[in-house]
Amino acid sequence: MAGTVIKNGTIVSPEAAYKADLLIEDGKIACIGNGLSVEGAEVIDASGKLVLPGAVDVHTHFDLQSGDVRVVEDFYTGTVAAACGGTTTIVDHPAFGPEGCPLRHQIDEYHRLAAGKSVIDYGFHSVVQHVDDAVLRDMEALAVEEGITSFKVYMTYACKLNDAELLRILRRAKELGVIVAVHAENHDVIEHMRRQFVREGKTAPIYHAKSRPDDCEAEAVDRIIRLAHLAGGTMLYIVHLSSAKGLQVVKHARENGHRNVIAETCPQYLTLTEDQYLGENGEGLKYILSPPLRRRNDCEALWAGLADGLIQVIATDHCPFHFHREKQLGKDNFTLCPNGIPGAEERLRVVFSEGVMKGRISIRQFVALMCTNPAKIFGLFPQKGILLPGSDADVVILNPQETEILSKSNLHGAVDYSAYEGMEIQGKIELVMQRGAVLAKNNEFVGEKGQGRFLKRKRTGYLDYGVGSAWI
Amino acid sequence: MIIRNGLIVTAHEEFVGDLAIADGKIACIGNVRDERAQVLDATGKLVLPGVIDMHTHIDHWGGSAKTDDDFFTGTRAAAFGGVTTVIDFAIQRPGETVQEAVRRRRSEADGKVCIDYSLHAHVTGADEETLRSVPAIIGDGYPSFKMFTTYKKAGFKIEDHDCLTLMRHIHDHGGLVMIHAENDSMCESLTETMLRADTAVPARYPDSRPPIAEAECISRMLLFAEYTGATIYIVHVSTRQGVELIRRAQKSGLNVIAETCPHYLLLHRDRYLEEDGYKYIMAPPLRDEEDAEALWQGIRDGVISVVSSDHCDYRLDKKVAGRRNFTQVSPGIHGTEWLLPLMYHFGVGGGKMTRQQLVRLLSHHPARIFGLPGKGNIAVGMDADLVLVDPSARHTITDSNHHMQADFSPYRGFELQGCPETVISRGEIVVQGGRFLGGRGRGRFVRRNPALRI
Repeated sequence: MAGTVIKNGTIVSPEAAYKADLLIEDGKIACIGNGLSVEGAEVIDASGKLVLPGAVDVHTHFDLQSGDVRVVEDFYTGTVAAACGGTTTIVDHPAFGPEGCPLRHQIDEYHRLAAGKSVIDYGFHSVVQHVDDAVLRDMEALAVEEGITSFKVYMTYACKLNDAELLRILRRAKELGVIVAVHAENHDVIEHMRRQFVREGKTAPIYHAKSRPDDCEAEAVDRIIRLAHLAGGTMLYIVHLSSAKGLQVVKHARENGHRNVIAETCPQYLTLTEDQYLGENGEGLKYILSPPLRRRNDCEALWAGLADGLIQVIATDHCPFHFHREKQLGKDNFTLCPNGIPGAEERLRVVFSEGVMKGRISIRQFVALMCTNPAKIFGLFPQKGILLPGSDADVVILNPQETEILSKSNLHGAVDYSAYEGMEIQGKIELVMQRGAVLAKNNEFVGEKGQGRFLKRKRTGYLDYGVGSAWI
Repeated sequence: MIIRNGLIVTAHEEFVGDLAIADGKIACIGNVRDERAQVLDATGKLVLPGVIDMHTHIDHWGGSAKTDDDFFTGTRAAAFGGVTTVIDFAIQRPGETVQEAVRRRRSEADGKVCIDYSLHAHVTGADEETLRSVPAIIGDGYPSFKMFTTYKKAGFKIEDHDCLTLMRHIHDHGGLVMIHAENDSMCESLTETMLRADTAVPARYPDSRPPIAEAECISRMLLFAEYTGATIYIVHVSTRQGVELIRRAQKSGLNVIAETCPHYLLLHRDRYLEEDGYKYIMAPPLRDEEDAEALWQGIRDGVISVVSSDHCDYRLDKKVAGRRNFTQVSPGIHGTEWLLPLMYHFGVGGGKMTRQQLVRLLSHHPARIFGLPGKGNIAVGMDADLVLVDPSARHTITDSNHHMQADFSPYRGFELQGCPETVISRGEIVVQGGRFLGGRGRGRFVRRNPALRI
C-alpha cells in the first residue's frame, strides 16, 4: 500500500499546533514532518486547514431500549452520523438489561447489535444495575479478558444503586484499577418533585427542569466523591456535568487532593438553556434529557471549567428519539417523555465553533477535550485520540474558514430533528478518515457498513491534571 | 541527522520513534527513511527536549565577590547537564539604567555562550527612566523583570512603593514580574543581632533568614498581585508556608507561578552544622525536611510549575571567607549541570513524577512562561534542542567530576541513575560521551515573547 500524505495542514495535539505533513501507511501514522513525499502515495492538500485526531465520543446510547421505547438509531445509522461529524471512536453505554441479568448479558447483546453495523471503532462501558458477588466477580473477567475497563453506575432511574451498593462497586473498581462512570443526581428528591408537580398539574416541559434542580446534581456529585474517597480513591468519572453548582463541588474536591475525580460535560449544557423548554408547539419536548438544560450562567461556568482544566472531556450522551413520535408521549406530561437528545454528529462542529472560534478554549484544549483526554481516560491512548507515529490514522480535516448553518437537512442521523437547528457554525469538516481509509468527504458518507472494529480497552492511563493547569 | 529508535518524551506524551533534524530544527518525527543522513542510535535512550534553566547567575557580581565562571564556562557546564537554553539576569549596578545593564550583560555573553540564552531585566526602583524604558525592554525581547525584596546592602532591593508601581506598569505592558521573596528587615535585624553577639556563624545562618521571612514576603506579594491584577512569578520557593500560601492564592484565582530548586528539594539545614557549613550559604537558606516534602507535594499538585538551578558558581576560596562570619560571602550555590540528573533521579527514578512531568517542569513550562519561541518541547518545526539520557547509566557525584568552576559539590556522594549523554543544540551536537564538541560563542541570544497561557 503506497499510503497517503496529508500536506501543509496545521496538525493539532494538546501540546502544539504546528504546520507539517502527515504520512499514513497501513492504516497508521508513519511519519510527521516537513516536505514528506512518498512515491505513489495519494496526496491530500490541507493548506489553511486543521488536521485533527479523529474525535472520541465516550458517551453514546445507540440502539438503546428504555422502558417501552427504543432510540431511533442503531449502530449503523448512529455511527454514520458520528463519522460525518468527525467522530471515529465511540465508547457506548449499553441499556439496562433484564432484571437480575449477569454483567455479561448486555455486553454480549451489544456485541450482537454493533458487529457488522458500526462504521467506526467502538467499545462498551459495562452498566452495573445490581450488586452481588457474581457482579463483583464478573467485573474482573470483563476488565481482564474482554477489554471492558469502565463501569457505569446510576444514582437515579429504575436501576439506580443505593449508597452501600455504590461503595461496594467503588471498592471493587479500586482493587481492579478500573474507572467508575457515574450519573449523579439525587433520586429521591427528584422523584418527590416529579410526583408533586404532576399532582399540581404542572406537567409542561419546563417542569422537567424544575423537578431536577442543580442542587440535586451537586449533592449527588459530592456524595459519590466522598464514597470514592471511602473506597480508597477509586478513579471516578462524572458523566454529563451540567451545572455551576456541580462544577463547584468538583473544583473543591480536586483542590483538596481528590485527584481521582474526572468530569465530563456535553455540548448541550454548554450552548443551550432551560429557555428551550418554553418553546411553542411542544418544542420543549425536544430538550427533555437528564440532567436538564440549565441557565446561561451554568453554561458560562462550564466553559470556564473547561478552560481551567477542571473538566477533562466533552462527550454527547447521544440518545435520540423522534420528536414527532416518541417525544410526543410527553405531550401532556413531561414525566412520560423519553429522556435524551441527539448530538453525536453535531458535537465536534458545535464545540469548535462555540468554543474555539469564540475564544473560550484554545484549539489545543479542544483536541484534548474531544480526542486525547477521553482516549487516555478510557484506555485507548495512544492508538486513538492523538496523531503520533504509530497511532491509528484516524484523522479529521477541518476548514476553519467555512461557515454553515446546522440543520437536520444536512445531517445523517435517523432522528427527525437537531437540537441545534439553525445554529451558525464557523468551521466545516471536509474529510474524515479511519485507519487511513476515507469515511466521509464533504459531508457525504463513503465508508462501509460494519467496517468498525471492537476495541479491547486498557485501563485508565496516568492522569496528571493539576491545580494551576492554566500554565501547562 | 536522524536520531533513531529513542523513547521520545514530550510534555504530554512518549513514544518510540525516529527524529529527523534539518537546518537546526526538528523536521520529521516517526518512521524516518532517509538513508543518507548521519544516524545517532538512541535505542534504549530517552530523547528529551533540552532543559531550559531559566534562573542562572553566570558571571555575576554578588555584592562582595564575582562568581568564578563566565558565559563560556558557565554555559558549557550547563550543556554538559543537558541544558540547551539559559535565562540569566541583567542585574543593575549602582548608577546603571535597566537598559544599560541589559546591554552590558549582552556584551558579556555574546561571543562566549555556547548554548542559546536570554536575559531577565532587573529593576530596583520606579523612577521615570525605568518606567519609560519598560515597553522598549519588553519590545526588545526581555519580557520578564526581576525584583529583589532583600539584599538592601548590595543595592538590589526594591521598596514596596516602587514594587507596586512597577508591578502594575509591567503587567499593563504585557511583562511578567519575578520576585525573590524574603523580608529584608527580618533578615537584616536578625543578622545584625548575631553580628553584635559574634554568633553569625554558618550553623546559625538559616536562623538569620527564617521561613517566616519568606512567608511574610510571599503573603505581601500575593496581596500586591491581587491589588494590581498582575501575574507574578515567585522564584526559588523554599518553605512549606510559601507553598501553602501560593496554593491558596492559586485556588482563589490569582495568577501566581512558583519555582523551586533542587537544593531545596534534596538538601536540608542540618548541612550548616557540618564543619564546611559555609559551602551552603545561599539565600534563601536550606530548610527542614518537612519543607522539602511540601515542595515535592507542590510539584505533584501543580502548585510549583518550574524547577531551576539558581546557579551561582563560587569556588571554595571565596566560600571559606564565611567560615566564621556568614556575612563575609556572597550567597549562592552552583548547580546548572546537576539540574536534570538530580531531577531525573529523584523525581522520575524516585517515583515522584512521570517523565512528561519532568519535561514540563524543566523545559515546557519555562519556555511558555518566559516566551521562548520554538523551544521547550519536541515537535515538528521546533528547534532541535535535545538531550539523550541513558536511563540505566549510573554515576556518583564527587567534588570534581563536573564542569562548573566551583571545586566542590553540595551533592558529593549522591549516586544517580540516568545521565545526559548527548546534548544537541539547534541540531548541533555540543556534548557527547563526556566531551564538549560545541564552540565558544555559537549560542544565540533569543528574543522572547510575552508569556503564553495554555
